[in-house]
Amino acid sequence: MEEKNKTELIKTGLDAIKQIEEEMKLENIVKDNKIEFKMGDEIYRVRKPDFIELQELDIQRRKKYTQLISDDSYLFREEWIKKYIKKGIDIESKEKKVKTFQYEIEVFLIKLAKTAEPKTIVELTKTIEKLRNEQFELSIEITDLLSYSIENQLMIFMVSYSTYLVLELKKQDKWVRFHKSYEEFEKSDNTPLISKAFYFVNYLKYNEDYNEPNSSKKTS
Amino acid sequence: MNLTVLRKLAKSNRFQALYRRVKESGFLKLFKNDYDLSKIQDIFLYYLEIYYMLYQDLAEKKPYLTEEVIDNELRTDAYLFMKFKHKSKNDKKREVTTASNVPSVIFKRKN
Repeated sequence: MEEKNKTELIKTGLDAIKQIEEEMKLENIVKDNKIEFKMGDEIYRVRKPDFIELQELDIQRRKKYTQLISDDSYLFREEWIKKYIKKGIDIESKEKKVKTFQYEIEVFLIKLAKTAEPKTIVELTKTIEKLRNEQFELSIEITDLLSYSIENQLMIFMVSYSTYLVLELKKQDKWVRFHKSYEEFEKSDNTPLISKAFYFVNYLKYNEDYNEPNSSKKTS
Repeated sequence: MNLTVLRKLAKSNRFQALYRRVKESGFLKLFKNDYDLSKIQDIFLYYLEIYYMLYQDLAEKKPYLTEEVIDNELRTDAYLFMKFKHKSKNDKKREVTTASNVPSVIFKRKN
């Protein structure tokens, strides 16, 4: 029994340390609009693109967009939705279901806000978490179904190109762009570094920043 | 992105005290950069304001809000949802009640 208590105490202590470490890491990330990270012996960082880089990003986005719409194998989101209907998959009704989940969640949230009864709190928490999970799973399903849409492909390209532009290595106290060209970035087999850079770029920019404005409307 | 840790950080006494001082003094800085906030800084700022407001509500003894609610992420979300929904309802009511039948002033050019 005493041994079990000791193990529990150690586990609690370790969890607390992990929590503090995570908070410290996050505090470091929040302090400015750049994120430094270490991999092996090297120090890397990602930062927000500057004005010149944003202009380059815009040019590349236009080029990629032209390339995508010139290729008949790429379809807009709306076109995929119509294609799926023929296969018996109704994305619009799935989207409606996501919204319905939201209304249901909101009803239970109001109930939760107004109660102080422990048993009711537990029950409502379980219900809301279940609904949120179902809503999340359905959203992921929709995202997966539309992953090949022009809008999505363009967004992936923008995040990718942006990562190439802002990933830097510290060399003798100076920051230098890590990849000489986007082609070199694309060919890189340093998956852990690229994944980490992608992950941190996501901390810096909203996905909406990469979307092609009104691209879905262009189908109509 | 670990929002739970970010919320804990925003809720912490240290950051709430700092945020209060920044709001009151107007010259203290929260971040190294003054502009061009990153997405995570933006979200962090949002939660700093949210918890600042929650602690104010708690001090004012607003109904349904307790320390236990603030310590629980989902219950906090529920309270905030109720608060903002109630606010938007009141705003809509106010819009209706303040609508007057007096015609607005029409400006005409003098010839």
